[in-house]
Amino acid sequence: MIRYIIRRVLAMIPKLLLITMIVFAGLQLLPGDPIVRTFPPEQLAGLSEAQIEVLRDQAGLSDPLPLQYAKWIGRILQGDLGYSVISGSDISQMLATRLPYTMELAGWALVFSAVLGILFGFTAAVKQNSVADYTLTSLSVLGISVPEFFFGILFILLFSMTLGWLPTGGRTTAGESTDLWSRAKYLVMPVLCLSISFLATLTRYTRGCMLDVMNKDYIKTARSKGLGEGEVNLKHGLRNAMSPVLTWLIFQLPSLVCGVVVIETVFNYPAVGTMLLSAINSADMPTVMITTMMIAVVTLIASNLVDIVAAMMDPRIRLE
Amino acid sequence: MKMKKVLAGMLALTLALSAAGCGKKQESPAESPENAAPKETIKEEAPAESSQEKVLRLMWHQGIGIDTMFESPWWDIQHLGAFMVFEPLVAQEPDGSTMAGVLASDWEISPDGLIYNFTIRDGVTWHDGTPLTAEAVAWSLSAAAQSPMSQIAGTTLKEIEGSDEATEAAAADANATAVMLSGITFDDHTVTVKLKAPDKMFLTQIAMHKVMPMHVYQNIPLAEMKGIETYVGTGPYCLDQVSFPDYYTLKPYEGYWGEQPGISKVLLTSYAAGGNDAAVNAMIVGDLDFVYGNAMSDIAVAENIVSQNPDTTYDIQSSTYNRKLILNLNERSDGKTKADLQKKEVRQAFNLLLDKDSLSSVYAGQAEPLTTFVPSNNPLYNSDIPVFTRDLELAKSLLNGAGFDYSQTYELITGYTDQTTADLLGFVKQNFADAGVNVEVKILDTGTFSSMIAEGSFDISYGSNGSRTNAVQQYETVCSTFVQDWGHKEEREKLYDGDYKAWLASQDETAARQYSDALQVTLLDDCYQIPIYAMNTIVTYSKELTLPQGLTTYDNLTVRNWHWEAWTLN
Repeated sequence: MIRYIIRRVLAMIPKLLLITMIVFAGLQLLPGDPIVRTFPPEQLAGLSEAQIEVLRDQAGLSDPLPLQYAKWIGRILQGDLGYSVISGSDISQMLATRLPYTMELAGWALVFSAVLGILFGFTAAVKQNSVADYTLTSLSVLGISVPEFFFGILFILLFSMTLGWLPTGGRTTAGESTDLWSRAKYLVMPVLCLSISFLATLTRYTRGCMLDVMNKDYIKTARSKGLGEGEVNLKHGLRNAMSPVLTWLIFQLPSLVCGVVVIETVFNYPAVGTMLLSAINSADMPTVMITTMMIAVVTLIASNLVDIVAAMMDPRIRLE
Repeated sequence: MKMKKVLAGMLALTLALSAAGCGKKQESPAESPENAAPKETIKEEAPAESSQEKVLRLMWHQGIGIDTMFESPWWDIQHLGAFMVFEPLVAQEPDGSTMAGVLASDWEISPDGLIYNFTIRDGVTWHDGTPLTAEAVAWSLSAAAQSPMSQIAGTTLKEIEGSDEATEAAAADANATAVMLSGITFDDHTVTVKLKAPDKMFLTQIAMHKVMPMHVYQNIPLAEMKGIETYVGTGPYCLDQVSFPDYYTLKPYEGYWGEQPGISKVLLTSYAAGGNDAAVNAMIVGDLDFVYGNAMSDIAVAENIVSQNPDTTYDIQSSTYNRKLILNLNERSDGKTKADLQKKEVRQAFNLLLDKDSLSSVYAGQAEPLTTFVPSNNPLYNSDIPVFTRDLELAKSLLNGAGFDYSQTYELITGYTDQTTADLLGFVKQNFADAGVNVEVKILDTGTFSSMIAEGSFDISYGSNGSRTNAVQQYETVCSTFVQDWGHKEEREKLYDGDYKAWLASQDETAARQYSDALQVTLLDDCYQIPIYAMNTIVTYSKELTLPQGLTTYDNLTVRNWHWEAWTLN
């Protein structure tokens, strides 16, 4: 098993390099000079060519592209993530501040949607063709079809502006403790919004997996042995259906992190998503590269985790 | 069993991340050798607010740098927190004309208008206790003039003698720090500024420059003066608590030289993540007390806030701000040059095609159509010029007479991404289409817009004139080529060195009017840029807030004396 894990981890390295190359090449397609993009036109006009050249040198943009890329990779390997060309901030410090906030949002959304999604999917499957099944299936379709930001706006209108129960956005209250309880009011709406489509998809997926399992011969055998319906559904049905569901859950982790970008913007939640968005808008290449690479790493880790979990559950996979 | 472990692991991970998300209040930013700023006392936990303590809640609107540093007040000239922490030499009183001394207790201007002699106020200290010196003021002016990160380096400060040479020398070295400009001298109590040419607006414009402490920032390279790790100023408020990237708070500075501010605590929350929409939401639910600035200056937004939150109100400030079309007369590097724009008749026709009344009505109650860059209700408006009216037939005949090529499509770009602008440019496109002129509108993010402007890859640009305090000053961007060169360089430079500079130098009202009139006539005829409408500024605030008399009557708030001592919160 350990050899299998090591093999998977080593296989990540060339994939990561390829991703960084693609991101680097993609950023070159942005129109205009990265330094020029950071200045308002009128102020830019007041700068001399020499001043712009100095700024370009400082940002390492005067080197040929392959050299820029090689230097960047070299610095990363030494643990230097570089500095934002927009603010001059240390990118590692920026990430250290914001990453926990993003992971917190994504983590709670994952737990919330996993628990409810499995529960709803299970209920819909065991009560197939009942009112509960139709209701949950219809709500799932709604959850999948309506974009997250729309729910965000609706929630702000309802819970903040109309009812006044929750803040419109932000992450913390000045002067108050920063423990989870104090911040809960800021987390409720973003976590709910982030969870909805995930929850809806998971409900449908769990339902499908459950129905698939419930038609298997061993379920019929269990029933014929005289086991109660509850025991059949939970012990034999749900347990066997969970294997693909868990695999799917882990694989969705990166998309959850990406979904955070929109939700952070709607709820004024300053974390990695909005940092990436503003970096792309301002062509802050070092920040975009590092943030994108971080998301790529999460995706690769999740993808490998899926394989590893699958291998743990089914030894045939690691033998292959 | 394995499934249980996976689920348990997920839950544990979330709880661990939540604990990490709790974090703690940010310590004062890490000290770097170049930025060895004295630290404010940053508390781990803010003291619990007493029920009586009133907190003024404002918007920390900077878009960048909030993770580890503040934007310098030279880069972000609109940030309210910077107005509280840093001070200028002089500021314009809320009446919109009288100048008051702030860090300068007095000033004298030589009869030829070339030399400004500022007496530095006694008893002023920086927030770290260091006394303010004339040398520090001289350094601040010199550094801002040389730094590419100063918004007024290329305009107001460029007028100081020696600025060009010093800027050029500094530009040769990425690590260059500021040197004193030859045009700035100082002794124990005074700072003397010598201009290259007389500029009667210099005193007002210099109010935009917030004096920063030499002993804190002098080792920071000029090219890195965009972000600063801490706020150390001389103003009535000093930094209390910083929690990047969420908020920071200010408290009254006990050693302040003037009257103590009226509100004892200020909270500045970042809306950089959610943008203007998040700030509007916050105003509606009463989480913000006062908003102003380019992004919030839209009467429709203000009306929306007031209609949903009756505890708020808004004021319309008279302003010199305007929106215009810039015509690119230069040759385009991408080969899409529109040679027809070289013809005066074509430019005049473009002006006549615009239905400025309708276009202004997009900002009903806030904007008014412009004939010249000076609004018709301004005393400096040239009354010999009839107020603008759209004339489609005349425009068509001008186009036909000039042999206009109707097959070409004109690219109209803008960096404003709001819906109102999109609607407005749709009308502009239709105005042009009425005469058979094809226009393609491109709404771009600000970075791409800046790039296209810099490259000259456009035919028409929809932009603004904002940072000048007198309407006639807007002609600086129209006729000077050092601000922006859109072609016809020689003619424009002649105008700049002639009527514009003569207006800046003129002390007597009759002469000033004569030059101002000439500028309006000549540039209306040449139509290098087409003014569309003058746009007043909107300030939206809570009714609980009592503001200094007249503060919200006149723009430009970047040069205003804010009188923080007169602010109260009920």
